[in-house]
Amino acid sequence: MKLFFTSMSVFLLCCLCGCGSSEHAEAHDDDQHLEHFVPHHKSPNYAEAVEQIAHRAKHLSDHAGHGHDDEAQEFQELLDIVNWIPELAADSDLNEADWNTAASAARVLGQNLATRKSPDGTLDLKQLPQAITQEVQTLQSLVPDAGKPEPAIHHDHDHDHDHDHDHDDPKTEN
Amino acid sequence: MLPTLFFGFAVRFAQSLAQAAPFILTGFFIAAVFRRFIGYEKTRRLFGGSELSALCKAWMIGMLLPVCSLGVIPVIVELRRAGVKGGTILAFAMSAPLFNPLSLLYGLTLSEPIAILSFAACSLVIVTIVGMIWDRIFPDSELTGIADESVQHGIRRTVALGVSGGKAATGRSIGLVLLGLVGVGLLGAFIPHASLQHHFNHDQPLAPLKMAALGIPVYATPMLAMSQMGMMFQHANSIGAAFVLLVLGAGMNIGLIIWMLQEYGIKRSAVWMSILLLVVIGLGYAVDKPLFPKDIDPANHTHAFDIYGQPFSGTASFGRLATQSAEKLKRDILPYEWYSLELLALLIAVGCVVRLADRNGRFENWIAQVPPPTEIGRMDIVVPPSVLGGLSLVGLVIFSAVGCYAYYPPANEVFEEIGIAKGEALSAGLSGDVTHAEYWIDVYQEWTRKLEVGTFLRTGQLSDYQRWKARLVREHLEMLKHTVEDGEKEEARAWVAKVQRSHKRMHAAFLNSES
Repeated sequence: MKLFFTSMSVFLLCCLCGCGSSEHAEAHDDDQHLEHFVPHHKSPNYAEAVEQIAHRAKHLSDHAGHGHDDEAQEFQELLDIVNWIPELAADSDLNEADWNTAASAARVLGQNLATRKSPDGTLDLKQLPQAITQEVQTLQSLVPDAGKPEPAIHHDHDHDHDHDHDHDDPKTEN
Repeated sequence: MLPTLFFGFAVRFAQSLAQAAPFILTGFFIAAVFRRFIGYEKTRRLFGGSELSALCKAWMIGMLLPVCSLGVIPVIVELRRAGVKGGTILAFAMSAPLFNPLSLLYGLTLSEPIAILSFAACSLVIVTIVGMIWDRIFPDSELTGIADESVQHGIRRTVALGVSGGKAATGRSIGLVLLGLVGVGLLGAFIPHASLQHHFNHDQPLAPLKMAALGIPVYATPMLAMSQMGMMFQHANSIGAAFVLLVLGAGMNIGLIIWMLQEYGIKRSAVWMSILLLVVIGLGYAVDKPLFPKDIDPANHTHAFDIYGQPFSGTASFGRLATQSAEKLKRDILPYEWYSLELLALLIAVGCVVRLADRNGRFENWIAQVPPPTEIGRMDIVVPPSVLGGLSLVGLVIFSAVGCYAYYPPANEVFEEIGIAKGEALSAGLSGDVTHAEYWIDVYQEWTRKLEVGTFLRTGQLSDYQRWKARLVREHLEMLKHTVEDGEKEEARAWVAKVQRSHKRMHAAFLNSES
């Protein structure tokens, strides 16, 4: 038992030392960056997201059954954009009642889209724009109240977060 | 190199001591109440009953009492003396630091309240399973034969409370507390600056295991652990690691392990630790995927553990590091922490005086004397010490619940505080002052959490709309922090404008709904 306890302690200490040593190496590794991952298909504002939903739904419907390879991914991206509506609507000038309307429309839209994907992964995208017309129109009607569309801020957060090698001044952290 | 190690240790040790001071004081108070008011026999009864009920009671009492993993040390020293079963004491020691009313409320504003409620339920499962198994393997773990020291009515019991607190503050308990702080000091000395940022990402399969290794030596108050979990949720880091952090980071420290080794020996301690790690890490992996926040874009880092690494990133002279350390401590230690440190110093002084002046034990003999019966009126009731003790503990719980209202002020007061933090953070963001920006952005983000809790506390609800507005402010502040750290001035200016817009919307969301 004593041996077991010692082994366990050594294991934990090794893990910890491992943290320290590998991190030390990482701190000097220029490839180690702090990133807030933003998907390429994420719209910068509410208005553009609504436009994207309408456009992508039509595109998917028009090309349904043509067997193109990207269909599943494009469908997933459409679903992502729909799921981002509450966030993008919150990042706009919409008041609470309008935000609730937008979030509710997005929820219904998401449910509708979910029914179009069968368990085996096949997609039924015919008549998609028609099926979601009401929700899309609701979302579009809120665009004027959402305020001026804000452009995306370039946030290429590929930065090395270690300050050791740049200057000698000690910097406090937290 | 040596000065950096020294000041890394000293700064982290002092920061943690300041954070722990209110809880340590509370721990000494609770320990004295158990010893002098409630008495050992009634304490045994309070924590007694069937195996399962004793463990559940230990969990429940632990959840209600406002102590941390260091503040719980004097309490478990008393519980041990009182003859409470080992499994029950260890269950109490583990659960008491995890939650208190303040941190539980804070936790409910995290990504999904269900996550924090699940964590609380998991903590009950842990202490119950581990405690039951341990009690079965080692059935006779309790101490016996220690005389009851509860004090009768009169001035004696008030004096006894101070004497007990003072003695505990200058005895074994304070030694264990300091050893607990040594763990976090050593991490501060040897773990390189900002090097724990990438180890707990959601895609790291070993994240809960690594957190287990880090969690034992670190010290986190219940609130700190909760805010670290908040940061992990915000960055969509490993949820399993966040759970392990809560249980081991907030619930364990080196002082507790040393106490366990002293009281139960290597074999029993090893069994406890093994079962505990097995259950905690197992549950960590079990909750990792189901509780992962689905509406957050994951980041590949977290800042939650920057406070456990070296506080300084370069090398500098001894004098310069000393100045930087003093400035940092002056800035980081909050006013109520200073008051608590002063009270702790006073209690230690009282303990020293009592120990020096009462070597013959005459003082203790006087306290132990039963006062002669006196003529009392019908309305003049002698309150038994156990009733007073019970009332003290209940009062402490009520006080901490009421304290929630002070800690989480109403929205209009929060916005006054936010106004200060916002001004400092955004002007530092514009001028590129990294240290100033980092500090005030953290303060600003913290106030947005308090805004949510305070609103929930007073109105009984927090709408999704308000939740999103506060969350967006935090996210935009986070981006501002990164751009300032990168020295990207143009981008920082854009994020400052963005924060101002999202702040305005948050203000409208919270204050318009109030009016």
